[in-house]
Formats: sequence, structure tokens, C-alpha cells
Amino acid sequence: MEHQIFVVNTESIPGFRVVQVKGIVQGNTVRAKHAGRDIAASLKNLVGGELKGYTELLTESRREAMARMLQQAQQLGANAVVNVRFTTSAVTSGASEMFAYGTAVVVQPDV
Amino acid sequence: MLELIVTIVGVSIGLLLLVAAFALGGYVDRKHLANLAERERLCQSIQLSQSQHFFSPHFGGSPPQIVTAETVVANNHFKRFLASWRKFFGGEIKSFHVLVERARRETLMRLVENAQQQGFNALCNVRLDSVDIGGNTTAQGMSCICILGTATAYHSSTAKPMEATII
Repeated sequence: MEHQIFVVNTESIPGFRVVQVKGIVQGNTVRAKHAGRDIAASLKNLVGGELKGYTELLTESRREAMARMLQQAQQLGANAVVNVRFTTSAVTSGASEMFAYGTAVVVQPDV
Repeated sequence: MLELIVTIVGVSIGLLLLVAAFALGGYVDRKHLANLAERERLCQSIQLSQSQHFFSPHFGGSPPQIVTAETVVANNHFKRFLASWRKFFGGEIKSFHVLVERARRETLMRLVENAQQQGFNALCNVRLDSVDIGGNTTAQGMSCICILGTATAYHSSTAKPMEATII
């Protein structure tokens, strides 16, 4: 990346003005943990508490989906992605889809 | 005779699991709640809002940035056992109500800590969504609560001490 892309989940960025809208950019990923993690999670389910394996799965998915979205934004020549949203869907048991989408825009410092 | 022994062994294993889940699960729950209370006390200086608006943004520092956090928690075997009885009779399932709240508080704290680590003092557009990963609500015996947190971190010139919980 030559320069940092601003990513926010709000409609605007204070101190910046949107000068061009490049369109919607998106990225998704479907990930699963290996069976060992699933077994560990079901054991942990006895005692309760945090299921770290699944938390990690979500974190990784989110990073991957966002990276793909940013790649698209960069190809379009945008320097910011605003109003980013995340959605998930359960594809099959033990795997989840993470979908990230936002609006790619070009922003300029205000004055 | 053999059938009787098998039944006794089966029932006692079941009871043992319930007792173990009650003891260990209770310990895990109390530890987490105490940990949350301590962290919330430490993070009271951050300005939280779930509005899309940036309250008195401070210019010159690093530009606003998205922060994310996620938490997956499960109820223990004992509480799920009680919940299954509650489902039969109907009414509020208190253990799950407490668990969902705990997961939300944990996610919010992670968002706050994430923002603070990067030097921001305010969060806006805080979103806490519950998601279903891997169809956990349908799988046999498994039930866990997943909370996804998303927010935008920024510098605010009016960040003053306030409540760390928004719900």
C-alpha cells in the first residue's frame, strides 16, 4: 500500500470532504476451524465461558473480508471507504461467511 | 442386574457432569464478571456514542479509524440443563439473558481497549450485533452467543469521564 486508506463505519470523516464517489466495494470469506478446535469448543461448552477458537475464527474472517474490500477500493483509486458494514451467515455447520461492504470514495482535507 | 449397573453408572456420570459444570462454570462466570467490572472502571474516560455523528472532533491527530471486536461465549452444562426445564415451563431464561449481556459488555470493552491502544479517546457509531456462526443454534448440544462489535475511533476534544456502559 503506498498510502493508508481511511476506513470508517460512519458516513463522513471529520476534516475531510468527499470529492468523488467510486461505488460499492465488498469482500467476503468463508472460513472453518479444524476439527480439533471444534472438539475443544464442545468440551469447553461443558464449563461455559469464552470459546476462544470461535472468537479467533471471527477475527480472522473479519480481517480477511476487510482486506479484500480494501483491495477493491485501491483498484478503483479510492483513498477512503465509508459506511462499512459487516454481515455474517452460517453456510454449513462449523463454518461461517463474513461479508464486508462499504462505499469507496475519494476524500480531500477540508481547507 | 447388568442393566441396573449400567443405569446407575449412566445416571451418576450425568450427575457428576452437572455438579462439575455447576462448580467450574460458576467459577468461570464470577471471574469473568469481576474482570469486566475492573476493566470498565479503568476505561471510563473514553467517550462512547452509537450515533453516526463525531462529537467535537479534534483535528491534527491521526484520522478516524474503524475498530472491531468479537466475542463468543457459551453457557455451562448446568445452566443449559436448567434452561431446558425453563423451556418446558416457559418464561424468562435468566442464565441466557445474563450471558448475552456479558458477551456485549466484553465486546464493548474490547472495542474500547482497541481504540485506547491506538491513542484514540472517543468512539462513535458503536454497533453490537449478534451473529450465528456455523449454525450453532441448531447443532446438537451446542449453543453459544457470538457478538460482533464495530465502531469508529477518533480524537474528541470533549472526551470527559462518563459511564462505560451504553446499554
